Amino acid sequence: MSLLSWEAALALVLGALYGTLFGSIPGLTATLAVALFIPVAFFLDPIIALPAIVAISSVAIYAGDVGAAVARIPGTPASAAYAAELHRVAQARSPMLGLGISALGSSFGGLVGTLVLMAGATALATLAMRFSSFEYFWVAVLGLAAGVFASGSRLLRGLVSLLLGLLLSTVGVDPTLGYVRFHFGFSWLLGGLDYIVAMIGLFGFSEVLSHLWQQRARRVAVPPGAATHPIRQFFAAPLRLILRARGLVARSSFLGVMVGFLPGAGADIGAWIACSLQKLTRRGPPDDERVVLAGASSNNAAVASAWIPALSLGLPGDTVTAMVLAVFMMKGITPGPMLFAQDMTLIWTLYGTFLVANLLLLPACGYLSARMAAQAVRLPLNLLISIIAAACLIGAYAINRNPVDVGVMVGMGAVALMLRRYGFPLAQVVLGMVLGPILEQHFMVSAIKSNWNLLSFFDRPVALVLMALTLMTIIAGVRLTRRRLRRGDQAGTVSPDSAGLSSDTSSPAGGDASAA
Amino acid sequence: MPVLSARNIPGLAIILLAGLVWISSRQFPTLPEGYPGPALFPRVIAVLLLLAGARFLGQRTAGSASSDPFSWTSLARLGGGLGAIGVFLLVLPQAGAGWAAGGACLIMAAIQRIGWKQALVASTVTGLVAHLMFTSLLGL
Repeated sequence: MSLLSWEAALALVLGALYGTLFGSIPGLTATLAVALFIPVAFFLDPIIALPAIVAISSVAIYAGDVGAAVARIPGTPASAAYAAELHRVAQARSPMLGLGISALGSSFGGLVGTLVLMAGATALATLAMRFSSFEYFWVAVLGLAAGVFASGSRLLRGLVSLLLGLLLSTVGVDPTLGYVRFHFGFSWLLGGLDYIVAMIGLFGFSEVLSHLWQQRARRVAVPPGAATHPIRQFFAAPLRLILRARGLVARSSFLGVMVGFLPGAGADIGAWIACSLQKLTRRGPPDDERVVLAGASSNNAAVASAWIPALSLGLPGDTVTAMVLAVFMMKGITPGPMLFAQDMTLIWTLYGTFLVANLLLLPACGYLSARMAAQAVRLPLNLLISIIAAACLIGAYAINRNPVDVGVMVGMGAVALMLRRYGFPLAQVVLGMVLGPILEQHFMVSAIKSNWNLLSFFDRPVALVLMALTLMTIIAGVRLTRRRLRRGDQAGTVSPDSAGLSSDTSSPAGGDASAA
Repeated sequence: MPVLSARNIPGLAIILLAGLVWISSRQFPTLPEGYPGPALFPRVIAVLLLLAGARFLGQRTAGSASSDPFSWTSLARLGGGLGAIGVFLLVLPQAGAGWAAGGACLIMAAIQRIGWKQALVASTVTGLVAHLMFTSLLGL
């Protein structure tokens, strides 16, 4: 059986549709979609099961952006980096255009990731082997630095949001020493706060609370022409943008691959660095479409590159590839260097699947989901808010089947409402929650390993390179932000998180002019 | 400008939070030979929050909030929103997650004074889709 058989083709198409459905519903993630598919995969030939998993994960990661376009609820921590920009593009131009940029950007990013996977899987996997806790610590620091500068000119607010996220990540059992912190006697806090639940509260439910608090009746302003020429808006306009910004797509995809193959939070960090770099190096006025393009291409490039350590070394790059390794084991396949020598049919089937998923399935399923999103934003705002509230409640509950998570989600929504009123960005809170445990664990492990000789953080060549990149990011970020503020350019930095579902939301005054 | 003005609320709140984190972290144990243990990371965050809060207090425009004046109507609508969450949690064990979401949707629609026909259709469709997706397919 091969990828060209009708069974494999059907598995690819069904997998992509299933991934679209799961990815676009708040609370249902690519990981959950793959997890639910595993029992089915057990009964399938690996040549069918593995391509289906590739299709599910590639499309579900993109479909997470549908929630961001309609209701500003990002599907993954990586897409939180550009959720506000995507929502603004969907509102100001059209959801078809916003999701078209996201889908085609993801498609190009996925292709770059696949080509790197095909060309240099073993070499990159060997590089990944050289990463110890010291290097991972610096990767996390680099991601955090990029996160602060992704907040535009509001550096101080971005930093505070990031610190809040880091603080929330300390709730529960300490990742290194096993001591329970900040649980206030509640057993349900022992496991910490789930960042997907937090994301639904921060982005989705805060929108509901904000809407309920507003006194005046608001409407979604559907831009004129948003409903016309959907194919042109979804395919032609984004393709033109990609051709104009091909350097940006290449750079972002490369970043997604280079950071994404690191086991852990590689994909998230890659997208944040790509978005931050685009915001810092832009010439002229802020361009939300380019930020979405940078984030989406980096995000999906990392999906393919997460397979590099899985195939070459048998190490999971993320949760999806961890489950793929379980499928390998179930089928009696041993991943690692020998796999490339013994079962090239399977390897080439996987490569082919990535190409088909990114070239055909992602744009096709993306178009379908964008059409649905375009219909959703045409609903009256009061009705849309009611449906979003229901989706937030069931999404938060569905993750762990725990009613307490609903309370956590509502609490995070209330915190987000206060943060938004004072102009604090929300996406940085999520980044802090995701990178906090990685940062702390690798710092503590490294410090204990070196008997608290902190100079050992600067001993290793790769760690030094990463530290230099972090310093360069900080210095360049501060200089560019200062230059912009001197020019009085704060456009695009005011109210990205306050710009809610309506077009007439008032923006919080005040920037961090002096903070930069 | 008085220290306790509305403009300074974020800065003061951040400093207060930093203080609470620092005080709570005093209960955490240290490692043998006096090396910092689980308290290290929260304390570093507390110090950085303290510095950021102090910087906020020093800024003229730091605490400007969006201008949505307080009103009892807004408060009542928020209370209604909490009611919808209550309905969701109450209906959840009996009817499953799907119909509980439909019930919450209905309450939210009622709070926002959507026409009853539209509200009923929207909540029924939401409940049905959620029931099929979450209860039938995922067994929630």
